[in-house]
Amino acid sequence: MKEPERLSSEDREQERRTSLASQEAPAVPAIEACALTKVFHDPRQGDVTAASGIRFSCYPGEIFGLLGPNGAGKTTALRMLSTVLRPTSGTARIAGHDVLENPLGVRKAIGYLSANTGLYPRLTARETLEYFGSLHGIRGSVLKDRVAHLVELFTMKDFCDVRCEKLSTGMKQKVSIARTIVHDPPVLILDEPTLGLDILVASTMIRFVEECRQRGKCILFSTHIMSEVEKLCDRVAIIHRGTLRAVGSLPELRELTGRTYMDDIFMSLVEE
Amino acid sequence: MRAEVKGPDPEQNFGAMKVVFRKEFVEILRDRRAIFFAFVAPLLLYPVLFVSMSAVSGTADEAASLKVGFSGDPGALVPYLDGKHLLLKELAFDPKAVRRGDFDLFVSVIPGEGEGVDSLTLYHVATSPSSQEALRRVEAAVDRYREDLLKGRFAKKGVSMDPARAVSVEPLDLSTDSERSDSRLGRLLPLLLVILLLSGGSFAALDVVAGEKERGTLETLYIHPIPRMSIVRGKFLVVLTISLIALVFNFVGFLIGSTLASHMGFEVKALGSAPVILPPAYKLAVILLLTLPLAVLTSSILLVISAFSRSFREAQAYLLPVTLVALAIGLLSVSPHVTLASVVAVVPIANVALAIRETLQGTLSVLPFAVALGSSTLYAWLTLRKAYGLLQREDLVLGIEPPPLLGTASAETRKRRALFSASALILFLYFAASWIQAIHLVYGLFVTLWGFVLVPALLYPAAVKVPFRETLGLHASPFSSYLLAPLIAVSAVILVNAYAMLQNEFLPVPPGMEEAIKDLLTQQEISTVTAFLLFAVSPGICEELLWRGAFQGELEPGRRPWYTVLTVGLFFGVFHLSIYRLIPTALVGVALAVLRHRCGSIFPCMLVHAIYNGVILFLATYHAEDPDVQSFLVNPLVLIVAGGVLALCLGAQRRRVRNPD
Repeated sequence: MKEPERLSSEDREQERRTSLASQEAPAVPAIEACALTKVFHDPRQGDVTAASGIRFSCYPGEIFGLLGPNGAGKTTALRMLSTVLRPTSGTARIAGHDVLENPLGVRKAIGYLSANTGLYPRLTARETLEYFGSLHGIRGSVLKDRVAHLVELFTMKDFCDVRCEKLSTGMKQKVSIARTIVHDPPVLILDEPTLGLDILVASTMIRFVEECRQRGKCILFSTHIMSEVEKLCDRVAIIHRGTLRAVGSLPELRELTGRTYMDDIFMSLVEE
Repeated sequence: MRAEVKGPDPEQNFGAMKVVFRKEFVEILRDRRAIFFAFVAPLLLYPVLFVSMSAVSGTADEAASLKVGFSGDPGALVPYLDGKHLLLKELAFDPKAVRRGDFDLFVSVIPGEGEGVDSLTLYHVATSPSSQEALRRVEAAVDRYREDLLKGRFAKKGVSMDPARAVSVEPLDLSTDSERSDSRLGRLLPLLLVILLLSGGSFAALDVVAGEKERGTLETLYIHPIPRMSIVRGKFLVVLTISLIALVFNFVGFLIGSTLASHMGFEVKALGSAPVILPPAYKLAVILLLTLPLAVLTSSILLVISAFSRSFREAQAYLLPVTLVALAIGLLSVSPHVTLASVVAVVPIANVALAIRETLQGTLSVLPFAVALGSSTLYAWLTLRKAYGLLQREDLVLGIEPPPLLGTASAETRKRRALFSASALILFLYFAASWIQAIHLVYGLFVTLWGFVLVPALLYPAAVKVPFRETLGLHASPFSSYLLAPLIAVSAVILVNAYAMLQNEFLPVPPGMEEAIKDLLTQQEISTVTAFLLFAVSPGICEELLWRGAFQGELEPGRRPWYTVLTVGLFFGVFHLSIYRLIPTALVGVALAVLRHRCGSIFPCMLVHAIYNGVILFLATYHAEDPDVQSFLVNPLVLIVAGGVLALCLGAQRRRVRNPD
């Protein structure tokens, strides 16, 4: 195993190179994680560090992948970015808002889909969208129009007045995605969005992510599936045991490790 | 396209709270179970309950024939027993026949002069309804016989007087129907209120927090741009509203049920025969005033439970003990001797329950009422704040726990935890054991061992998240360790006895106490088997699982063996709560701790402990004063042999080779 210290300085170097390389990207990052660290205190087990010194930036119109095995700290990192968890140290800025100083501003700017997200079983799809829309401060006819637009966008007409408990997994996922963008946020944070989905639903999800990029949104998503990263991501960060091992585009990572395939790149970064 | 986003002003989050409240309320009302338990069940429950209660509590059938055995000549009494459906049979004196069920009543008659009867003894069984009915019939017959007898005697002396009318008694109740109804309600309602508030709000409270955690919607909710406080307030208000609505439905169901029962001619003992009447408006207003802080308190308690639970089912598991505790406190209000003008006025739950009872019974005075209302409002506010605080804690909201790495607690943490828990338990036992054993020695000992000693030992590993089997040492041990157990036990008896005699020289056991100990060991009223179970087997299991199990298992990792062994011995000595037994029991504790350390298993320790206590019991019962036994026990040669055997046996113990996995 590599010394984390050496790796993290390498990461920073790598990241600097990447930002310099992509000069055409807007100068202001949509997401900027600055040394995010999360330590869980437990009176029985002592301190458990779930994420340590996480540092990366993503830009509008970019799909950024956070790749790591289960328990690597992906969810913890995304939860800190979405203000669900408060970082133990470090901070992050989302669309110009600091997660510590202005969490409400951050929450307005993001659409967050958690890995184990659920729906209210006794609300219909439409009511769910209206509920979360009104929590975003959208009211009245604006809200109605917005929900109607989403129903059309995700072809939910047939089941939008059915209670969520009666929907299939694919339908539920559509409702969840629609819920995530009900307020049309500039930044999307998706935690393992294809986890447990069949190929049809997963490909809908992937199409949706690509469309969002075209509309200029910044998408940060975590996954442990290598092929998704190869297919979708403009850049990727590899996370293992709570620390970032490398950040860069696929060609850059190939250059760094001397491997071709994502699996091999990943293994070489994690195993050394 | 970009929707117009107007983030709510954090200062004016009332709108957001309303949105949350409305959604939660609608969702709860759409759940069939919630609707049924909170609203439909009460309307059906009480009528069914009251009618069935009165049906089962009815007395034995008045027309049924009952069997009465008698001995002696009842003579003149016989005609009075006619027509009472009693089958009389004369037999030899045998009251046990009633216990056997051959007869409902046995009457022993001592005849008086002539046909007369001097005295009667009526043998009955109070728990049998038919026996009670037989008793009632015979007593009624005797009353009439006595009356006629007196009449006859007065007539003989030329006095014309009806003895039944010598003193005429006619009770006249001055209380009104409404007052009687209030008084009956006062006995029932307060406790019912506590149960109903807890049960009525429980579904909502568990669903809106623990249920949401389980479904993964709470995390989603918390990343919306509204202050968390608005979410929490909205959820709290839903719980409060639902519990109050359920309460109203229950009260309506209660009124309907009691009215129905009395109209149908059923008598429910707790309610009396008259229907329950709605109390006057001013009393209702006072009750409402008292109920509000109680409802806030119970709703907050429910939310606290829900916040701590990771799932609906986990929350349900916590709900039962909490309800029982609340009920136990509420029970204070039922006793007729307890009044609000006492310390009860500041006991949460009990104060409101008692204030409601006194309101209904018309005995409430201003100052205790104010204290009860004030203190219950304070408790409600504090608990609500606690619930608010908990629901903002990220670890609880997300149900996040650090990865469950068993045994990651440092040895230092585990040591401190073990010493603290053991000290706390000993302190608790100092009060609890003496209290319960003072009530009943044998059962008290039993409860102490199986309740206060065993239960904490078994719960401890789960409570501090250490492996259960590993900590308690529930591993198989080589067969030889069981074979050596008797040798270890007997040699320990000999050595400890010698020490105890030495100790007696400079710390003599007070004479009265010595007797008490002997009495304890040779309890006359209990059989040998019971004594063996109580004094040998029970300590063997319970005390071992606590001291050589949970305590030693928690203390052992990463420590030097001698530290662990001596600490376990010392605590075991202190645990026996007697200065005279401190060192002897500590010595035994050390030997047992060495055994656990050597063989890694608790089972040989249990066996040694049981045999050790069994031998002591045997000696105390049969050979307490036997000079031969005493001199044998302190024979230097015997002591040397015992010491050698003990050392060898403990040294020979080996851990069973286990698969390293």
